[in-house]
Amino acid sequence: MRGGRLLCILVRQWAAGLGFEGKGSAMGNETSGQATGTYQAESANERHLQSLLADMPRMQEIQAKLERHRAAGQVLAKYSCVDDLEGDLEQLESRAFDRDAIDPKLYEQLVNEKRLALRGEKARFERDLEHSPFASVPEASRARLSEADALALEDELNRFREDYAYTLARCEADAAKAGEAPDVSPEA
Amino acid sequence: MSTSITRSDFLKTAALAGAALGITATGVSTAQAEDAPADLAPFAFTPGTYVSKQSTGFAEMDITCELSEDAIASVTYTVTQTSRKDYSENFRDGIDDLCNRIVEANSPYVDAISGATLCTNVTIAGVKDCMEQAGYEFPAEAAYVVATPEWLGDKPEIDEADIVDTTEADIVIVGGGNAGLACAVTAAEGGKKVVVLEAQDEDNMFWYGLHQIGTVNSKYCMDAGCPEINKSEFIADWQRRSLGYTNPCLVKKFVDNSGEMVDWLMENSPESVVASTKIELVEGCAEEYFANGGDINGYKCWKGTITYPMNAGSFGEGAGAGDVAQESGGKALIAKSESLGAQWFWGYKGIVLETTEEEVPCKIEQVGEDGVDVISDGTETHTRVTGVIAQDADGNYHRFTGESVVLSAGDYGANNAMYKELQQNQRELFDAHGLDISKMRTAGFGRDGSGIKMGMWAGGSMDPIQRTLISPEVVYTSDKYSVNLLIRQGTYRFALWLDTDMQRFCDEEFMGCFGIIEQMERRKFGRFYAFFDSKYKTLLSRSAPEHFCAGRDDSLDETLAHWVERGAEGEETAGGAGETTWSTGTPCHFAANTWEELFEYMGLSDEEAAAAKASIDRYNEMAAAGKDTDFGRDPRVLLPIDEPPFFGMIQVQEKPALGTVSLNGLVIDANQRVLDKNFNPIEGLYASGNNSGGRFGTHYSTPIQGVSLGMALTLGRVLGKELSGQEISK
Repeated sequence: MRGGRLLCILVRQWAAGLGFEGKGSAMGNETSGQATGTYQAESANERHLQSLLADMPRMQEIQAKLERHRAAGQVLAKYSCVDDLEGDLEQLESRAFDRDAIDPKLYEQLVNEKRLALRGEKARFERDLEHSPFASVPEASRARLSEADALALEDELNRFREDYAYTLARCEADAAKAGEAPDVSPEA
Repeated sequence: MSTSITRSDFLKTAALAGAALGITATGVSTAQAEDAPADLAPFAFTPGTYVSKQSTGFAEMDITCELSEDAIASVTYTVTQTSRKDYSENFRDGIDDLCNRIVEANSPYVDAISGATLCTNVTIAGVKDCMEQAGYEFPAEAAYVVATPEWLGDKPEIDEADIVDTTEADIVIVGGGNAGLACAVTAAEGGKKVVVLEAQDEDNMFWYGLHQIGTVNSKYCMDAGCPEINKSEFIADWQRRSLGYTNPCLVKKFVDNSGEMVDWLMENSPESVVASTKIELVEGCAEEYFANGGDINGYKCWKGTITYPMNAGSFGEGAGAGDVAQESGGKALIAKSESLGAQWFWGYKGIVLETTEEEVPCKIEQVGEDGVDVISDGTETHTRVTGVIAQDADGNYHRFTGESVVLSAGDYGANNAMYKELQQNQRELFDAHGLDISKMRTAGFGRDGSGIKMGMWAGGSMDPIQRTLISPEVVYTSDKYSVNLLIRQGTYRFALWLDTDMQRFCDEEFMGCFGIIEQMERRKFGRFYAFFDSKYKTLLSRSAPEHFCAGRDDSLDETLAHWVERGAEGEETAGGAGETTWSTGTPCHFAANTWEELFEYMGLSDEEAAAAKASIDRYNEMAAAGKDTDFGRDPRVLLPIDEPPFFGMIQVQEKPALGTVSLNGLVIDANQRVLDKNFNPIEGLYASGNNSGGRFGTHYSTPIQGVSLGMALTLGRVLGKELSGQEISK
């Protein structure tokens, strides 16, 4: 999660440094091997790639939002086990429960099993919460998106990825044709 | 101040930025990019001549493509074999034209040619195959996306760094309940290295269920007087009750192997456990039912159920069982498995399965527009399960690997989200009665469905509807009314039932307690009335001994005599010494020596009393004639209600019955392998017990009591045998 935020900042700096929004400014990070400054696009593909790059920070935010959504889902799933067990116990111990329908010893064993299961689920939940980006269940709940929103964001991100990959490929092909084949490996 | 950068630097930066989102550029040809269709990445072939063998079903064709670095240079075809007389020149012309157009468009995506669909399809498929042979990767076709169900949630992602250790085994069993335990012991008997992950702790291990275990033709039961069961009749009855929703192969495995399972169970049980085991229906139960032929309305029931103390102290006094068990049968089996090398990991809960995927060749069969079947080569994704990530009671994660993983972690009867979503019958009943679905919840029995979710994340699917649960009103949660005191005595079956308008509404004996529950839940809620007389014992003896049957309860006479004593007060439902207990509420159980008195005690208005009497009289007339002309109640259980004392019971229906145990699960095959959505087995993954589907159809009406546990133990043992190479009965 923290790595994702850092990457987001870096990309935002790249985008800003490259002047994709018409605000050309130097990034001043020559040691990273990334060039800074503006590039005068020469084709429609390159102009489209510039616009996609300008949109990259927003996409990073969407990705981060989806990651939080998924992390929240895991925490909340564990919490729902705890919640269900608490509800079960409450019901089993309520006056309305027909205890005579089952053997009294069986009833006691059932209640005991629920209590112990609750203890175990609480421990598992607390561990996962501690290792999650959230401090509490309400915080995780707030990070959880509706199913429709999550699907829409995933769809938008995937479409962006496809468009980006294809446009980048075409720009690289153009460059190669012009004898300017760049070393485009991310490790470069 | 901004400076200019080169194209090379710009693209390098763009590539790096893309990598941040996991994006890499698609392979690109230097010459082709501008001309490629928008939905197709530019070509970058390994130049050469490629041949693809294709079949239309009536003709074998070789499609030959010459591919340059970035273009489809030529496409030709040869019909190597054909069985079709009308394979005319017209078709050949069409294919020739298609080949030319593919070359002209430099794409396999050209309009199909009417009248030559099959040939067109295989020609295009052949060109694409050649392109793939030359190194081209087609973009994945858009898939029909099914949203993850809310109850399922996202597959947990466990960080590798969080996994503290790895344990290797032959078989990893997730859940040591009834099915998992039987599987574990049996597989260990077969020499396999078995690991069992059990969420409960060792000292308090508790096996769910009332521990009636239904079996077919065990020596143990037959020696005690249970007649031999005709297996094919039994299987046919099961299928009839389940309307064909179940898998007869699974049912047959239960039928063929449950007897051996019980004999094995008894052989491996301590003496005190054997002494506490009871064989049901042997004496004093359903005697007239079996004497009358052993069926009601064409549905048969058989003897062969034992009540077995899987948990220590299972039986209370007066339950008609043997001694209260001081030892646990389940724990004895655990000890046996451990003596054979099985390892039990207590407090370990299965979280997620680890899987690998591979593309496997397959035949794809399609029917063309001209109705001719086409079988072509293709691939499909196969999943293999390699292990399980589990979480211990302190929250630490552990990896378990094995050639086989068995999901036997129990039902989802305690998972409200799953229950609401998957038990659509119950949900829709709530909705149909205008009740708040958000307040619908399970009865507190059951497990959390985690095993089913693990199987789903690995690519499995849920048993298609109907989805069964055990839902007699064992758990009646009302703040106003006392519970049905006779639920366990099978009241539902033998009484005459009237609705809120004092009208009879069904054959009360149909399908045991489930039949009457289904009927009551589909009517206006409120008060239902049950009437019977002093012949209750005769009726009990004649009723079908299905689940929640009367059994033998010596306290029934005493209970009903007390109703008579109570008279107008109605049966006392408060606890002793006047304390408020669970069963306080408006009295609902009365007895009297005349109908007039009984109606008065029950608080019926004159109109209601008259209507009730009229319905009772009509029922008695039909009983006297030996024919229920209204609903076809079997004449053998159609007795007039005319001998005092008369008994009246008010059953207040406030909401649909709460489910206790859910009985549907993952789609499996006859070998209990979990199937993916192509109905191919997920290699190495099995489900047994209430993690598996295919066993129950529409409800829990079955030809023998205790089949949920009977199936769990039997099919768990069968799976243990199969996974360790032991023979099973067939």
